[in-house]
Amino acid sequence: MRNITINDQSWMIDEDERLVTGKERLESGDSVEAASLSYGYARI
Amino acid sequence: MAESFGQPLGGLRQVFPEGDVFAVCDDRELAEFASGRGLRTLLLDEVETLPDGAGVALFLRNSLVSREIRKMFRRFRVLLIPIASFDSALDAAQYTFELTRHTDYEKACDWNRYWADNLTRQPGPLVFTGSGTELVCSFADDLSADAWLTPEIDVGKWISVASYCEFSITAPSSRDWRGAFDINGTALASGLLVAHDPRAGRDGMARIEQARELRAEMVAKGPITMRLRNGVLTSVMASGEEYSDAVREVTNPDYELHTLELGIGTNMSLLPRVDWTYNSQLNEGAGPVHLGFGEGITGAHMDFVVARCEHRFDASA
Repeated sequence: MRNITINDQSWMIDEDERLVTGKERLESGDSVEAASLSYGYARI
Repeated sequence: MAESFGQPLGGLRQVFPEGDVFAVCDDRELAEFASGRGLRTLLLDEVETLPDGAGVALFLRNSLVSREIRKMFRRFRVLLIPIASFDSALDAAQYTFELTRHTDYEKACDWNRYWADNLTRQPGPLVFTGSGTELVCSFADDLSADAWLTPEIDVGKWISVASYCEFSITAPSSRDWRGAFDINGTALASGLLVAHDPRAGRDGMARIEQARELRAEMVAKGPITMRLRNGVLTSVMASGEEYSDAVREVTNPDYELHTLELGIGTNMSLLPRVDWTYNSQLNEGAGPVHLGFGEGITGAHMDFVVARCEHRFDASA
């Protein structure tokens, strides 16, 4: 059995639509990591 | 459900089965088009007049997703169609609008649940095969995927149309390109899309502009033959011409053509309506699989879409 997380919520936002968790990874120097993590948030 | 496709809302009624539903556009031309198709339509600056809990199909032709726009829609149920991330031209926007109405969201969610279930249970590699494609995809034991599993959207939710139309798996980071999936083989792509992220900077936008021109050239010469080894695009050809250097450049050469995204299409019922000359997000999930390169920030995000193939899980591996 493989473990699959659907729609990782580590980019959760607060009431002001600001990122509250996952912020460090989203703003990391690695744009691939930021794009991958935020796919559900800033989805293109 | 087929009955609803003859109505102005089409498949959108699956997403918003009850209550008021509106098309909201950030552009008057597209709003007039939507209104002409029989939808109740508003412009972005009229959103405050909507009743709480309204269903909104939000078509952003000129604006990229932003925190400010998200805040405007907190009271509603939102299906986002980010046209400006692909192509803002009016004909492309109208085409995208029409395919949004013609999408079978229930069937797409059926497929998303199928993939969530089978990628959990099937241990062997996933093979896409037929019509010139033979791709072998293997997966990590722990995997993250983006997909929407049930058609309805609740109040306060903001769901991109892509979440319905594909089961998307992305590389974790540029330090771990193969941390989620690995791909080997050959693919025959009919579609090619170029997208950009709202966070793209000046250098990224310069590459994205080049990618748009490259896309038009390659699609005109298509279909596109891709060869992949250990997740890296080793060759991409159209009409006998090799384009791998050009694709590497516009997707950020530092990424060395590593596959960033494995997108499994879930909107194949749309395929008879697809025109591959359009750079539209709705084309992305109409084929059974697409491969993405670049993240859309430091360079273009380019999706190569396979229009036809079958799939199987290789139990012998």
